[in-house]
Amino acid sequence: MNEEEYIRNKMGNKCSFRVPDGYFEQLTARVMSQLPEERAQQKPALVKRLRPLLYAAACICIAVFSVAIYFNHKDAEQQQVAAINAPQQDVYYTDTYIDEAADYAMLDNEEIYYSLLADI
Amino acid sequence: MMTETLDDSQIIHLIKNPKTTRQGFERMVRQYSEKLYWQVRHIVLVHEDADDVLQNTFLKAWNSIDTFHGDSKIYTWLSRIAINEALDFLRKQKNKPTISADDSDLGIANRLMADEYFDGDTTEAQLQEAIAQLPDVQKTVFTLRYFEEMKYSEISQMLGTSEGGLKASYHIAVKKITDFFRRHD
Repeated sequence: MNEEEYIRNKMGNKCSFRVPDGYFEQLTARVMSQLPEERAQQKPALVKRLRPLLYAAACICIAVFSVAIYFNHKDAEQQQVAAINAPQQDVYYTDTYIDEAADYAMLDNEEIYYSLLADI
Repeated sequence: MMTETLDDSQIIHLIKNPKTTRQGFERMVRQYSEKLYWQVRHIVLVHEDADDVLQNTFLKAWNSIDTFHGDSKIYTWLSRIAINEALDFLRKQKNKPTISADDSDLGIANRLMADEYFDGDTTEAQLQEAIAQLPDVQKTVFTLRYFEEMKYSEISQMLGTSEGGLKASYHIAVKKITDFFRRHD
């Protein structure tokens, strides 16, 4: 005998629960009398209510992030350009003040050329 | 005539029309309340508790009728609400402190034997005690299959669980109840 048969043999099919007299006849009227006239508005779950805000926040974050990357990239490019141009500016400043430095050091042009050639 | 049975589409048609919503809902209550009552009663055991749970079930159904789109049968939808309400009731009852020290010592079988709306003998009361000790899913599946004689396909729609899972739960429940009886024989 399997286990379910064992239980059915022990229990039979009789329903041991009962209800007060007239319970089911009155049940519908009692249920309807307890219902409000207007249905309560179901509040959507918190996540559902916040969803539009979450989408807006996500869009703003993506936009800010994109702008930050764009300007960061532009700064990097400008720095590269500045690095390329920098030696010419240095030459300009060197050229501007070399005469004063030479006068101060009491060096003539020939001595300056020989000192520059020595460094190569 | 109010005693005439309407099919699901007729009830839904009445409910969706704002002028006949209440009338349609009343027909739904009249048609399904007794069947739902017995489902709930087998889970919560006590008549007064089953009555409370049933009232709450229909109140929830009334407030969420707009979410019912006819994807399932009305009875399946109502059963889902009823079973969740019944299991919630049991969970809250478990967390409530017992009123007196005596109550905490009485098993479910003893309390049922003292209940005026329980006609069973000791063995039947013990069966209810064995069922009450099962985890929620096994308790629900056993109740619906054994007492309501529902098909696994219907239970699957109601609980959203696979038929294979339900069969496994039922067989485990049957084994546990059998073991319970053998220990108490």
